[in-house]
Amino acid sequence: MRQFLRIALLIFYWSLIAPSYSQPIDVEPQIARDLRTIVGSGILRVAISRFDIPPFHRHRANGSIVGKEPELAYQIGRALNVRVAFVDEADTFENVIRLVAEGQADIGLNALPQNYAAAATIRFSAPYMTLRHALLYNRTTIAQEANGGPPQDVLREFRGRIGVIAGSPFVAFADQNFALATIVEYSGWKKAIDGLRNQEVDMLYDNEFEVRRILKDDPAFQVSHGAAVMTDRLAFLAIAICDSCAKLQEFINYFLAQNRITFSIDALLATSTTD
Amino acid sequence: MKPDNSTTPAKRNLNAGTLSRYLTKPQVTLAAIAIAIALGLSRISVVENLRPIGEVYLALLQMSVLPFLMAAIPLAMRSAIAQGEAGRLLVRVIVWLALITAVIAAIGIIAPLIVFGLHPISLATVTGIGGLVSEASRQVDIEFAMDLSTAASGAINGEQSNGLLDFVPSNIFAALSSNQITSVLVFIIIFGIGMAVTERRTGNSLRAALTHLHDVCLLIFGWLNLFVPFGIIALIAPQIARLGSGVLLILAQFLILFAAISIAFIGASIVLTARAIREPLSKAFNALMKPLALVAATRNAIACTPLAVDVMTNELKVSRAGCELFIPLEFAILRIGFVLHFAAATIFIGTLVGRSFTISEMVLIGVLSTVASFGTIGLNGPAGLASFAGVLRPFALSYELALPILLVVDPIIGMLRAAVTVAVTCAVAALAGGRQQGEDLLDLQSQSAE
Repeated sequence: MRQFLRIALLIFYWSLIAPSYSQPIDVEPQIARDLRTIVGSGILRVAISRFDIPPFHRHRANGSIVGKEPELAYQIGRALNVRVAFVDEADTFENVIRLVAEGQADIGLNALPQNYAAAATIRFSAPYMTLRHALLYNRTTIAQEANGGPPQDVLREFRGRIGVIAGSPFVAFADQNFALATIVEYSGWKKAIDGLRNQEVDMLYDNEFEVRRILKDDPAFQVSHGAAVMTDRLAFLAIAICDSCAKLQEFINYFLAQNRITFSIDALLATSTTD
Repeated sequence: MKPDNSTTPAKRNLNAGTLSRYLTKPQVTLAAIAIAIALGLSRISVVENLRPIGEVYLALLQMSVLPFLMAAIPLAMRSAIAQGEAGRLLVRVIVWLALITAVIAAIGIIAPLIVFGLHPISLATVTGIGGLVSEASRQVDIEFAMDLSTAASGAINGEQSNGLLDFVPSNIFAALSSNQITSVLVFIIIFGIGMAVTERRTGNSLRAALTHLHDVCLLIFGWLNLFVPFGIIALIAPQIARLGSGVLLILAQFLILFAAISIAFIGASIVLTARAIREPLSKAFNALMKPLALVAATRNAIACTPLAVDVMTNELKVSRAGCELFIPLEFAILRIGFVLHFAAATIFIGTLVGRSFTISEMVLIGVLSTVASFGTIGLNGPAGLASFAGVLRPFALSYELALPILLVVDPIIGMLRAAVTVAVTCAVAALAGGRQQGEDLLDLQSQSAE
């Protein structure tokens, strides 16, 4: 009798479980976001910083975002046949990367240089602009340090105070390239330039475009401050792409190559930043 | 039938000699300079077409310089040794050169200090200069490699200077073919001494052949002199046009100051030359205007050597040894114009960045400017500015800032700088050598007889 009851219970439980194996799953499996899902959703979410980086991008008074990078985003959107939505919540370069890494944006376009730290959480497209690293330095301070020698000897092994934009890859680059210097982080370019002018720092470190833009906008500054570029330190500006978006990365690289999209410094410097 | 009056006596007399005298008159030269400046400032398209004409003219002038030096210097050496004057003349040249260099460096420092003290550089000028530097350098002063091994390999690949060894011609034909004036001068001086010594020992002489070569070169320069006014226009106008009036306005303060100092030194040199040879000032002025105008056009003192020597020895009758020996040497080695330029430009750059100088620093500027002028040996035009770094950097002044500024105005500054070199060198030759004495005249007579 006990044996019979045991078999009956087994059959009962089997009857409860058995259908779930035999019928197909009606819930879609969790598919990682990539080209198919982006096209399916009809929206390409583009992370961009809240602060402006003219002429790469800037916010207009009406809230729209214009510039070379938004133009590129729209071109990619058109190629994908999707709408472009900008996610402009990031207040630093790092946070633009974070938005992409956390899946709040599909790509990030923010004059972002490829770097090892970001490569751990996101993908990078092929570069659309290659810039040399550059220094904007106080001529008198560096000439005093050089003690009659050429300034590059001092710059190469700089031991003073060097300013960088906080949350930008140049914080890490400064650590790597100027190990003996004191790194001072500024929240934006205005504060960084004021810091250089007031001699809080002896020089600023960023890419060639930013340094040349500052000097072009304020020619008198070039009398007291000089620009030096490093021929063997390059910043490859690329599009940040979500980590799961292998197909999107392939698509964007093909798009950049096919359309020969490269930004040139001279063209960017010549671009007007006014409406 | 009426007689043909179309050919007047004046026109009949218009031969090559009178044409030459007319074309080399100071008034014609000054008019040519004025026309060149006006054409340059007008920036009409035809001005740029004048550039190749000017370059051809400059090449023609330069082609006979080395043969002339190869004839004139050995003859001068021989003449000085024969007169037993060489040592005394050398001492006099060194004393006058040292004195005049000190005066030039002092004025080059003090005059800008006074002028910029009375009329400080305005913010608008600073902004304008910043714009010029920005445009000229495309906002980048220095390009360097962080990786020293990369930088070192680049340096190894580049040409390296061997110091004094560069001035010794191991192969005189190679030095001649590559136009290494300083190396050639070293050879010619040694050759001249050798020629004088062997002449005494053996009685054999190259003098007749060298004198002939000397006269041929002067004749060629005489022909080229006919085209001096056209050469001036063709060489100066494109330089001014390239500069543009904007640059002239921004750097007007420095340009006017440098022009005023230069003209003062040129004037003083003409006065000193006239006094040294006891001739009227007008005669010295008329004669020296020829090489001065030519050097202003070519910005190349070496190219004007034959004309300067010719004018000094044949028109002003200055001692041949003093002129034929020391004028080429000083044009090649001690460029007085660069001393003035470096001294004045250091004060200008210092004022621009708000630096003041103590008296000991001013003395050091003078010394460094003189030393740096030797760094220009063998170099012409903007290439000579490289040694300016050695003047600026001890005072924590940026050479990278100064270079684009100096390059921008070098077409004008270069004219004045070269003219100062020529004028002061001629004055030193006259002061040290004096008027032609009996030996010189005998030399001339014997040359004529031969």
